[in-house]
Amino acid sequence: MNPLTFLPVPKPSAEGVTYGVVALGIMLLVCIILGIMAKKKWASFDEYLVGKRDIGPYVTGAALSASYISGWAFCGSTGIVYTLGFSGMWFAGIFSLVGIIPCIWLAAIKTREFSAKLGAATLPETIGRRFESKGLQTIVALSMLYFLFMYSVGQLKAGGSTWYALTGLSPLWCLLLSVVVAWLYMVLGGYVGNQYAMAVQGFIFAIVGTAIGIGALIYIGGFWNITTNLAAQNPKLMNLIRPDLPKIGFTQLMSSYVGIFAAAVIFFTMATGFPHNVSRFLGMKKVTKADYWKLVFIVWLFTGIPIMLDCSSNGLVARAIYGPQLLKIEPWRGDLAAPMLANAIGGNAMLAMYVAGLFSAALSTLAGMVFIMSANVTRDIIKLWAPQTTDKSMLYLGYFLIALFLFIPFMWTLYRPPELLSIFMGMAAMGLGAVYFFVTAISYYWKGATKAGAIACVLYGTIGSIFGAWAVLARKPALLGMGTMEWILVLGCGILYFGVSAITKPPSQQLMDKLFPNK
Amino acid sequence: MDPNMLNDLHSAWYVWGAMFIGTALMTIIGTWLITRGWKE
Repeated sequence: MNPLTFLPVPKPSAEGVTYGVVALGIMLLVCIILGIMAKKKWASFDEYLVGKRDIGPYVTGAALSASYISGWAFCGSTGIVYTLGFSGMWFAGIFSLVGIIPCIWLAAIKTREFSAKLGAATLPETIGRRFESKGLQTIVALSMLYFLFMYSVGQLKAGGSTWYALTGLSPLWCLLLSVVVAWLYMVLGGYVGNQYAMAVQGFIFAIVGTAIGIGALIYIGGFWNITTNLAAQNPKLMNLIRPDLPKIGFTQLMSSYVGIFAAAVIFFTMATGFPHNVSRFLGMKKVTKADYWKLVFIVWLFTGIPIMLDCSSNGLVARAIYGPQLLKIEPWRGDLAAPMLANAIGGNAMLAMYVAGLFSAALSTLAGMVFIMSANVTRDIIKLWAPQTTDKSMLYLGYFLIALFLFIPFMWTLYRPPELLSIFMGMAAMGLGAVYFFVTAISYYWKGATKAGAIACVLYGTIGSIFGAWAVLARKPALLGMGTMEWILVLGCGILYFGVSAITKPPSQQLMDKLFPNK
Repeated sequence: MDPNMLNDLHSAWYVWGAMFIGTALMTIIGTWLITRGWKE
């Protein structure tokens, strides 16, 4: 193969439209059916929010993978590596397992156990009751609402641009249909319906992601061909670290060891800190040792293989196949790397499967967040402070809020979101990780944690992430590197959480004895 | 193309492979450590 002969960028076709509609249609149809089936699984507001805590390890593991792997992870990560080369993989997700497997170790059993013992149906309720504080529950709910709102805004972007690349049509109708279907299965099936739909979506993107990853390596003819091709284009594309890129701003994650190590910490804290991840365990059944291994295995298989290929070799293969051509196609540029790679490997059929996988990844993460945001308002704020409010009115308000929180990312995928919102969005995931790694996971193990320590951690992390958005992403030139900001967030949250807890009073002994029984 | 340069660049794949194997080992060993004392 002549290393500098690139494949022409394929154009959308009528065949692509048909395949895309069929693939996406089947995925959405299965989700609606699951929502309808899950309607029988709940009879009260509590059961709507958490089910009967009887979901097994396969479904929980697949749903956890789906909530963690977003549209960005399935599309943007390949684009980062396509654009920057091998060094991009550190931020693009090679550390995904370094986050999600410890999330199971730290949070799976304890989330289920604490929420059941405390009679809690949501994560803020579990945290609030863990610290005997309605004030903390409210602060946690408001903070999650802020972070998740910011993080949800961009969730459908990759789906919209890929649909356009496949069909040449506006993404309006396919996105609208997707959010309407997501609303339906959440309203009909509640937590259980959402969990089952997420599990199917996780299965779809795992299959598609693995097929494309392995297909790409076969298509290009192995690792040596990738190296030879990229060396001919630009040898820096094969470097594991790019000291030539700026040391401040976003590129610090590829240009210095401070940034690369921070990327590992981002993934580690993010997986456990994401409430939409940890909430997957709320409805899990009491697991045996064998169940636990099944849970871990499914998450390793669904998250590890496809995403580690997706964020490394896929981007490099796309670069070898198409050269830098895609970078010139505005406004998507690197985001086209993954769909165009799918097209090169298997034509419109594979591209349509990729679209189904991408929508699965995007919709599952968005649905996980939206369900929590709705419960933040109904259960964690209104019902907490006005317990006389009827469950029926909470359910109806929840249905409306789910529609609202789905509609906003839908709208901002079609119309460019305000610049300020895009900037805050970039730091929301880091903020969520830094705060809730401590407030959720560490609080399951450390008896000395206090509500004052948790509140200090939440406030610092929320304000710190807003400052970070300005200092790293908004200010020109940037004031700090993204990796440095991660250290400031995580270390600050940790110091405040432990320090303030050490000098304030923990919850009652009676509660501690219930939550931390002597073995 | 200089074969030495290609060999140097190709070594990045060993780091990549180590990440795959390392995370698989981490998963197995960590889960075994956590569950080894569990009573059924």
